[in-house]
Amino acid sequence: MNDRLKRRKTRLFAVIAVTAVMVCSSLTWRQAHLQAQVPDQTDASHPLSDCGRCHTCANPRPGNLCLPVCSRMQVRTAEFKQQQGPDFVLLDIIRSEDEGVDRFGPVPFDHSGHADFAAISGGCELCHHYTPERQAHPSCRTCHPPELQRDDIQKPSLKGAYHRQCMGCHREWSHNTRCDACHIQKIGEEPGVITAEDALGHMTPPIPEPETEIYEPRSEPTIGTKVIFRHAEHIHRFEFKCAECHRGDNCARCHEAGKKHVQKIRTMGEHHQDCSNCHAKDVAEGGNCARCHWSEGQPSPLPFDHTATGWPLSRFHKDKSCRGCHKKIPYTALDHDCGSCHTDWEPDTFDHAVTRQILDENHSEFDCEDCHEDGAFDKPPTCTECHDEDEGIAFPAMRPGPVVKP
Amino acid sequence: MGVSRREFLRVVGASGVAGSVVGVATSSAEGSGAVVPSDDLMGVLVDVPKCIGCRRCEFACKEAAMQASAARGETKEAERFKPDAIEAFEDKSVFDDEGLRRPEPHCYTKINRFPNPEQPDKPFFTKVNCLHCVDPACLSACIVKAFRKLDDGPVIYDAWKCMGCRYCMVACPFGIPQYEYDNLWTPQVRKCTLCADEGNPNKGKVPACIKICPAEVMTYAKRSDLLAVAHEKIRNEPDVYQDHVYGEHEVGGTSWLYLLPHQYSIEELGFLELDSKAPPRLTEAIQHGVFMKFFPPAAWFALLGSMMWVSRPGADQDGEPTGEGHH
Ligand code: SF4
Ligand code: SF4
Repeated sequence: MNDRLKRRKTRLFAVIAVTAVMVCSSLTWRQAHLQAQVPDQTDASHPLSDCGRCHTCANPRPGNLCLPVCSRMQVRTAEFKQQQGPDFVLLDIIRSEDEGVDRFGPVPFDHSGHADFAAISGGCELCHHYTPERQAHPSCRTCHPPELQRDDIQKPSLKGAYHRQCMGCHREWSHNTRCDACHIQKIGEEPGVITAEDALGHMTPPIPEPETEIYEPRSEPTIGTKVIFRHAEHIHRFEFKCAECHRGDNCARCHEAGKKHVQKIRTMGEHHQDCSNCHAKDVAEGGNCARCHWSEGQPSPLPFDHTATGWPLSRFHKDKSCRGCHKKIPYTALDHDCGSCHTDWEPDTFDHAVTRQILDENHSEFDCEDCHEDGAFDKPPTCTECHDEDEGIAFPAMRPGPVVKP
Repeated sequence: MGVSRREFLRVVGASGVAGSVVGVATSSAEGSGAVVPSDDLMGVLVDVPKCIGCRRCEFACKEAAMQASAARGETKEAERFKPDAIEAFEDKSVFDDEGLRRPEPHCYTKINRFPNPEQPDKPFFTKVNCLHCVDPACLSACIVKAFRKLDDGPVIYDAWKCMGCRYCMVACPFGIPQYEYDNLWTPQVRKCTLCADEGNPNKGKVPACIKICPAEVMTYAKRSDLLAVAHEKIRNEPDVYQDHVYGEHEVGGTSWLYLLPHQYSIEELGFLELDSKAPPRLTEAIQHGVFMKFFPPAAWFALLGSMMWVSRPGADQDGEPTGEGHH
């Protein structure tokens, strides 16, 4: 019994000793652990302890933080005409940092094509985001160095700047990040001479052009529940450039034409704005709404017919582009005097063969008005000035010379 | 009803181990405290909203690891790292699978996709890889000291030392180290080395993933400079970034720093909400207590054993067991 007691005592002592050690240790450990959690406010190595690292002045305050200007933040641009830029640029400055091995070849860049797109949304400053006043756009590498390891890490290097700029739009509609969409040759391929041709349409899927678009106005239209827009007619016949109508449109709107795009809610005025640039009279109060609006079951408006303007196009004019005669937008009526367009047609030098009617010896000496009464060149010539009506000589059954075959 | 000596020893021995573990924990925490990042520490700033998800970094990572293995004469390992043709990484269908893509033993970095509610055509992508902690838990946990933290930041390791205990995998708060389960005979733990491992062609230069990245999502520079840039970006573009540089304070700071889009919470992007305390203190204590410094439990054992010896009633009764305790 005494023996057992002694053993118990020993065991108790051991357990108490061990427990005491555990408690003391964990208390000290917790203390140290808590200390480690409190950040040291006076720590000079903390990145925010050195104000001068970010602020350029000694006393930054709200409203004047004295932060270095980032040109992305303060876009400045000069007015440039699209035509002032180059058509084609070969981007070949960046070299791989591995000696002699370039993973990808240079990029032939279609500058004029991109300038066209930029006119749709953002303008030149979409890419040329910083231009000092009264200066030409600086080249990208003026600010973005081609070296990856650089002193100024606030701005991306040239490679980063290019890819962020290009992929910002490209991946939006292509949904891929393929290198060969822009880089022409790859490692191991012979670097032939790269020309502008290589850049055009390279890997860019053709943009589908709709023939006609039928819209269904969201609001309750007073006239017609549908609106027809002949897209092909506007671009091919009326020769509108994309940017003349598509303003502020997203790239995907055309590059991914099949996709349903989220439409911005627009007011009636905003909806009609693009059309009213030309169709001002139709859009105005009391205008001819039926030019575009119609309802199911009713005949839709017909394509434009020049005859309706009172000047049916002759065979000479019917293949001409609108802008060949109507120099300004919106297109307005011209007078019917040939000379108002054909300013170089002088009676002494005029070669009648351009009308496909060659004048024979007997007729070539006449004055214009001898046949074209009152200079009305759009009317058939009168032959009765010289020829007796009874002789049966009349245009166009009989002609003043041979005809040029078209 | 008495306790056999064997049982006694068992109890005392076990408590001794526990006691010594805590003892080590104490000394360790008192001794080192929080590790302060040095001024020379290099870092990587990841501008997450700039990533276009091209996965070229995954390619470059595999390629660099392959070259490094080949240079070290590890032909079989090199074969395991060998990437497919670079075009194969264009495959975006890998993002369609549910769940986060995680680093693998032969692909140290993985890209994940997250939808962008404001611009559906421009999803966000995050890059997962070792963050190269200032005070790495993996290093502390490793009982054979296979890991090393280099002065300029990279946490590298000697894979040949790995004995396969996989404590580093458990210890790493980000679950980065991966085990070569497919390597039947010589499986090792693998993780990103920031291209600073022996034989890596990018050693001492810009790491492969950073070099290949077309959008320059990652900037490799001094950690302190990167933090300044990161905070300025947050100030300038509050509508792009959330007001938090991930890795600045997490687990005592990491060499990789992340600028995250404000549309998501940290956890939604697959990053863990962690406090600024480095976990290594605890893991180190346990691991080292148990394995590196096996002396203390033995000492307790001896001490308590001798106490018992001293208090014993007599040498003749020593060998006499009591019935109940016997087994
Ligand atoms: S992230 Fe994990 S593997 Fe990388 S250094 Fe930190 S603890 Fe180690
Ligand atoms: S290479 Fe750069 S852009 Fe491409 S997935 Fe990797 S981090 Fe993103």
